[in-house]
Amino acid sequence: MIRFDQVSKHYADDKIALNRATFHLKRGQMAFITGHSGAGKSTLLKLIMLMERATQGRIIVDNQDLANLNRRQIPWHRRKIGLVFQNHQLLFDYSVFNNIALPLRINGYHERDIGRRVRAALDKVGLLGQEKAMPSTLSTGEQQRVGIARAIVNKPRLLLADEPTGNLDPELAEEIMHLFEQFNQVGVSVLIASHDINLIRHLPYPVMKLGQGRLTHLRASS
Amino acid sequence: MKHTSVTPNRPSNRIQGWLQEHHKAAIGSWQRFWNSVLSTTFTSLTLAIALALPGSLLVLLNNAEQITRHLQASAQVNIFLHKDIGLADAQQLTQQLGQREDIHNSYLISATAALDQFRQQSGLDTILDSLAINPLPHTIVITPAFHAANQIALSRLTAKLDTLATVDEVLVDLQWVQRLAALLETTRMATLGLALFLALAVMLVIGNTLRLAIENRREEIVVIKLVGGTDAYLRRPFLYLGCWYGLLSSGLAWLIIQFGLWGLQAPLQRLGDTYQTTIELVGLGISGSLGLIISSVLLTMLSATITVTRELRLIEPH
Repeated sequence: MIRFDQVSKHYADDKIALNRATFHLKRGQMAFITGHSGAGKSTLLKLIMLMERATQGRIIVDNQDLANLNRRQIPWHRRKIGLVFQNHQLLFDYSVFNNIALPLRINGYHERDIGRRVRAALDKVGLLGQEKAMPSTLSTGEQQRVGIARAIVNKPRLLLADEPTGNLDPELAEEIMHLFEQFNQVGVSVLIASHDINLIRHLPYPVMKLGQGRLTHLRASS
Repeated sequence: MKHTSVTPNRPSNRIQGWLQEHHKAAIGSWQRFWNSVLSTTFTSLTLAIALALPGSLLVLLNNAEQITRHLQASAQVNIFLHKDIGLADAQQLTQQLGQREDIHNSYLISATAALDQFRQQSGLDTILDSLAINPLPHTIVITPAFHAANQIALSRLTAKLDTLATVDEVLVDLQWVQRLAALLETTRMATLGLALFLALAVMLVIGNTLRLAIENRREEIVVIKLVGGTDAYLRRPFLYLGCWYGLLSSGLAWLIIQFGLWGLQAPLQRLGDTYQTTIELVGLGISGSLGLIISSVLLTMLSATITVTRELRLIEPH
C-alpha cells in the first residue's frame, strides 16, 4: 500500500527531517511509527498526503508514484486516504453531521447517500444519535471519534493517523486504538504515528522507530 | 469494510452531483452573503456608487446628444444675395428654394427688414439715418431637409447655392454645433476613462472583500484541502459570493441612476420652459439596465476569479 524507498526530506534551514527512510506497508496491514516529537513522524505522513514533497527517494502509494502527481491531481490522491489528526481538525461552526459529511460533499455524493453513510460512520465510532450536536459540546474523546468518522466515511483503503491518542487518557486511547484495529480487520491499511510506547507495546503490529530522521524497524510483527 | 463501487462515478449521477454542488454553493454563499447584513450592504453600496457614477454620466450624455441632435437638425444656412437683386426676384428665389427636395423650408429677410432689425438691436439710429442707401442685402434663410451632421450633403448644397448668379455668399453657421459635438465627445471620453478607473475600484473592493471572506474560512479551507477538495470546489462558493455582490450592487446602482434622473427632470423642465420646449429625459432603458447588470456581474466575477485563485493557492495545509 505504501512503499518508501530511500526517502529523504531536507528543509531550507538544512534540517534533515527524514534520512533515507525505507519501509513497506502491505495492503491490509496495520503498523506504527514511534519516535520523539520532532523525530520526523509528521513529515513522513505529510509526504504520503502530498502536503510536502520528498527531497530524494521514491514514494509509492496504492501503486502510484507520488513524484508523478502534479498539483491538480493531489485532491484525487488525498480522497483515497483517511487522515486522523491529533487535534482532530474539526470545524466548530459545523454540526457533527456536516463535519463528517465533508469528504462526501466534495465527492459530489447525493444528499440521501450522504445521510446513510454519515450515520454508518457514526455508528462505527459509537456516536450514533449525535449527528446534530456541535463539536464544542462533545468531550475530547468524542471529538476524536468524530474526526475518525470523517476519516473513514469515504471508505478509504488507507488510514493515516498522527498521534490520534495524544490528548486522551489511557483508557480512551485504548478504545481509539481498538477502533483502528476494527477498521484494519475489514481490510483497511492503517499507519499510525504515535509516541505512546506503552500503548503500542501490547499490540501485535509492526513498529518502526524514527530518530533524527532515521527509520529503524523495531519489530516486524508478533 | 466493503469497497462498493462509488455511485457518483456514473455519468448521470456525476452531472446530478455537479448540479447539486453548484446549487449548494450558490445557496450557501447566498446565506453567508446575508449573514452580515450591515457589511454586505455597505460593500454593495460602495460598489453601487462606483457603478452609478459613470452610469449616470453616460445616461446624461446620451440625453445631451439627443437634445443636440435635435438642434443640429435645425441648423440654418444663410444666403446673402447680390445687392443689385430686387425684392421681387428675392421673393421668387425664396419660393423656388423652398420647393427643392433638399431644403426643408426657406424664408426671406428683406434688406429693409434686416436694417430695421439692426436698428432696433444696435440703437445706432443717427448713424443709420445718415446713410444714403441701405448697405444690407436681401437674405434668404433656409433649413436643409437632411441632418446637419451630414457634412457631404451640406457642402454639396452650399456649393450649388453658391453657383446661383443672384447669390453673393452662402454662410453656414455650424461652428457652435461642431463645438458642442466636440465638447460632448470630450466628455464622453472622460466619462469612459472615469468608468475604467471606477471599474478598477470595483474590482479592488470585491478582491478585498473576498480576501477577507477567504481569510475568515481559512481553517475550513485547510480541512477541505486535506480531505481532497479540488480548487474548483473551493472556488465555487466565493465566485457565487462575487456574483451576488455584482447583482446587488448593480441593482442599487440602477436605483441611484433612476432616482437621480427623476430628480433632474423638474429643474431641466424649468430650463426647457425658457426655450419653449419640452425636455424628456431618457433613462437606462432595457438595454442600458441589462448592460449595467451584466458589466457589474462580469467585473465582480473577474475580480473574484483572480482573487480567489490566488488566495486559495496561498492556503496550504501544513
